[in-house]
Amino acid sequence: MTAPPKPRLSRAVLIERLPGYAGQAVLLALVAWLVWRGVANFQASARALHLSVGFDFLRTRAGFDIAQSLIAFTPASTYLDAIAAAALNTLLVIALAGVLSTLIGLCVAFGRLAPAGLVQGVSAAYVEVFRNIPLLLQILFWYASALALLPAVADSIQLGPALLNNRGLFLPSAQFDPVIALSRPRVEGFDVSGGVAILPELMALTLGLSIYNGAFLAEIFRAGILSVPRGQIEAAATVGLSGMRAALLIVLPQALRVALPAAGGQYQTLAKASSLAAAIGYPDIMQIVGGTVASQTSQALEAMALVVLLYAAINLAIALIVGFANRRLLAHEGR
Amino acid sequence: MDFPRAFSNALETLLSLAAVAALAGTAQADVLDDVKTNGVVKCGVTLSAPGFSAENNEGKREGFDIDLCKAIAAAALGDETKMQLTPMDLKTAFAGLPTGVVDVLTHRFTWTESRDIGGLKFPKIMFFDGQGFVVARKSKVGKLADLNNATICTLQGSTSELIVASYFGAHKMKYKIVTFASAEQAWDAFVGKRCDTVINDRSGLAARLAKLPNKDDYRVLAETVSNEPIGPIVAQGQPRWEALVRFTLNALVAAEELGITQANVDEQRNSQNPDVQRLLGATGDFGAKLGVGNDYAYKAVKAVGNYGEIWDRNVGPKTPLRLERGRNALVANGGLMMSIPVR
Repeated sequence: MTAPPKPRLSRAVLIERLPGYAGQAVLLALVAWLVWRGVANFQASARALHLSVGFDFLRTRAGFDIAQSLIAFTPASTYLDAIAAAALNTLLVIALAGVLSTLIGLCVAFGRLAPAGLVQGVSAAYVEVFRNIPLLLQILFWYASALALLPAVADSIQLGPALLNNRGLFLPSAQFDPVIALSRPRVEGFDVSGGVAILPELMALTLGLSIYNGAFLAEIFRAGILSVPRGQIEAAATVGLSGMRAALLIVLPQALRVALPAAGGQYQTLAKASSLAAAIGYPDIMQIVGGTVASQTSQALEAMALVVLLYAAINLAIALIVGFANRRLLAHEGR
Repeated sequence: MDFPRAFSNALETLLSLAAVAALAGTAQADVLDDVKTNGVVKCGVTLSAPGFSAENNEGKREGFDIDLCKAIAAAALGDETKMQLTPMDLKTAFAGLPTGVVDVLTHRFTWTESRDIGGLKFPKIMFFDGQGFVVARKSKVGKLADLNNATICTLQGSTSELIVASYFGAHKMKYKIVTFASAEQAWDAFVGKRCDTVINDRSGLAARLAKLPNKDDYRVLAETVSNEPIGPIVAQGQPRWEALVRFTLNALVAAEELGITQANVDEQRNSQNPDVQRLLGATGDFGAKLGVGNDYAYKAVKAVGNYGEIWDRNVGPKTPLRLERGRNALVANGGLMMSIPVR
């Protein structure tokens, strides 16, 4: 098989398009010049203001502590470590809320399509209530509720080996020092020692993000499910698949194809909304890099540039993953 | 044909370019000239710190920091009402000052070496503070050493974060820290029992406690763990503006030293005391050299009174904050506050 010959542009067409090409070239040059001037201008202004510009501060000692860190972090660590810890905290909450909101979205989507009136009503009410209240308000509500309802350390609620109080949920954890042993959380004076802690801030933020985005995802999934032809579901019933199996094996894979692009956008919204952590003191990128690092180094512009860069990177990564999944799905369709 | 569209795009680009050039222009311009041209002094202030910067029942912002802004506006423009207050948290304040969003921060930030080197200039210390801890009386914490293993609420990016890390580290005490974007959030979380204690400047703690209906349920620990020299901040590279702010603030302290008050400043203009004459501009040309009217100090004192009056009106013993002068008394009275000689 040979490729079809490229249509050659006639002289007349070329001449007609010439002003357009010229315009684009001029515009491109102007944009390049603008960017170059902007950067030069910034540097000149910074020099004139005697501001120290640059990222040398990243390797100096941070001197502060972070409430929650997935990597080892002490006041002796560097600003770079602090930024890494903050980025991991953001990724953690995005991952937790991403999974949870997807589960909520799927349940509510099927709930809204259920024949039973009560399930349908509850699901519809869920979507309308949580979709229409500002996310910040919801997060503040969950945080205030957590602090108001959870007991003090001395009156911790014992959940099997776990402890729950207003300092967080403390789960037993494995310790490898020197042999593998189980570290059980126990109350010690002011505080709980041993185990791993899930901070109230993380709980409130995950809950707020999941419930809010779950409502949007539910509508996206519902649209996807409705796009699956009825005949498919009837066919599934004919070959003897139960309702649940038909939903999982027949409806969901096809619904996903329609829902995925919109859902991807929703996951990006979730990632950006995770910066509302700043409202309740969860140590995420916004809080640590845009707040603590910016002020402790007095290099606010650099720190803010890093915040922009990190969020852009996270969102681009989500877009890439969704795009990849989408191509896989479409490839399956083509087969 | 595409040409008209390309042309309009290019025009748009040119316009945004002009905007960028204008922006760069303001960053480099002289702040004092800008203030005079705009006819307004833009001050960045605390979001809410009763006694220092908080809205009263009529929704008007008032307090110690607001009076300092008024004094600067009076000195620079001859009219203390020509000020524009922008409530800012630490993030917006430190990014907004060098870029010209505000001209001066009459805020509660501590003068530190890194901030100074980083481009934030503190013309004069107007408040000698130190950090302390508040605990609930029920917790039976009587001294700092009892706070081992405590959870501490504080303001993110504040000097408190570093003080806690170094103090607890040096004393081999363990702690957990929860940081918030504003001092108010940190305080609310402490009152909400998220933390065992909250650390802040003692003046700030007094301001928060004054607002609580059940303030007797709480106690400020006796230990002061740091020195916090606090004063307005201007951007680096603005020597004329920095000098005007410095000597306006200085005039407020000098006025108290010389016994000049808001009430008697008019008659003091006729004083035969050469120090008073120089300060109020009857003799000499300090004002002209600063680039403002020779009576700038008179205008400032006329607008807000002297340092002691500002203190008494906003945070003194007769206010809800009930702060004694302490370290902030004049040197003559055993404190640390003194003026730079006006000569």
